[in-house]
Amino acid sequence: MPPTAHLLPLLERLYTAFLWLYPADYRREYGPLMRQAARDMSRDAVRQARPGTLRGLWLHILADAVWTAIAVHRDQQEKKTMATPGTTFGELTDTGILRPNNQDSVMSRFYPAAADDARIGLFVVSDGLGGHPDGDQASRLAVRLISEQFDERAASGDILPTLVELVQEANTELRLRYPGSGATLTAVAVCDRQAFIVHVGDTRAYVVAEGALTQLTDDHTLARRLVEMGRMTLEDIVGHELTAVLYRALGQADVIEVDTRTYELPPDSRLLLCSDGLWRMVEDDRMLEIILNEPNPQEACDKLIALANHLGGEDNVSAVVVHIA
Amino acid sequence: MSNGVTKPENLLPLTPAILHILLVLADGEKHGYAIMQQVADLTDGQMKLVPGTLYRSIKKMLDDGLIEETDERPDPALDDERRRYYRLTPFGERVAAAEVRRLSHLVAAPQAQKLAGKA
Repeated sequence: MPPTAHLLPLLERLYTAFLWLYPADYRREYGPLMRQAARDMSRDAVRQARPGTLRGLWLHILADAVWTAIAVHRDQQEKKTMATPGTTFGELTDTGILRPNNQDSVMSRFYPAAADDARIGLFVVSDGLGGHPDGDQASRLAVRLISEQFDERAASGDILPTLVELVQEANTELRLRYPGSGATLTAVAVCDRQAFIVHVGDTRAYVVAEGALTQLTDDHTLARRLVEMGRMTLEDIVGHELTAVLYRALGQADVIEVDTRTYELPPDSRLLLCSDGLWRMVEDDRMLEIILNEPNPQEACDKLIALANHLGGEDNVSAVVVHIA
Repeated sequence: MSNGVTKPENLLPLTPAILHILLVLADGEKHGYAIMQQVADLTDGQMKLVPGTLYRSIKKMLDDGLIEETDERPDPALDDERRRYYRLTPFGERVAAAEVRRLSHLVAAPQAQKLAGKA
């Protein structure tokens, strides 16, 4: 073993500590990849066995980590100020307490609209199906495809049909790349106080207006279906095992039915998009209380997720909170 | 493409890291460490990307629609760890070409030629 090889585990632990300088969501997405690349570089440096190579490399890697962590925080801040005037948002996704990895994905982005200087905010939450292979990849792919393709088409056409088209395309791609896998998806595009909603599965969108929390999406669970058929009541299905069984999700059929809805957002309203890891753990009243009382949407997301984890964190948990002036 | 950028020129000039990453991806898809190695080879070791700069650049390029992820699989030449691969999008190719043209014009300018003669 080369004389410096024994330092590698120590250096990797040091790098893991430096990764805490980055924003949490960025660290989750890129931290493992950065650690992997640093490990590869270190192995090469050890193989070269020239005095000082490993030390020089690590000074460079650590200094770069400090500089880019500051830059990434600044990038994220700039992204938030790109929002439509008066619209602010926060987003957070977390593994939770009991699950080994995070199969949820979230995305928030603003795009130019067709008319004038208007902008369209697009907010997406997706949850990879548990027990399916590549559930994490499935949700990430769905969110990424929709966010990449939305811009060009939505700016020149109707927002709702564009979203439906993109969800179908994501479904096709997901079946091709990760057969047997699946994901739920809820996406809301906001333009001029109009919310355009597409939805498949049991991720949810809510609106908070005039002091009330109202669910804008219907869960595609068997329990909910039985309520719609009149076989059970909403009270019957609270905590029922069939609330965890989906009958519709991305990746489960060649063509999927996508729920759509448009909704006029009242002034001073808030949107909440979340995965089931939030709404199964935290009661509506607690969610409403946090969203109403927390003026900063990022702080609201942080508090919602902290509460879900405090109450057991049984699943991956994600939230996007949008404030509409 | 993303962020509403429709003309490649709107993204110019590129940062050195992004330009070099685009150039090595022009040869085909690669994972992060292969990108770092080939950027070092391309520049005779003058440009050494390290993980922080590499992945901040990759994130920006994904956001701007210059590159896309293909899939995640092991590289048999390295080890059995799964690695995330990236490739150029057609828009990324147009942006890289526009930047190369911009730099070519710059280098061909009399002032640049005069400086090169002094080197």
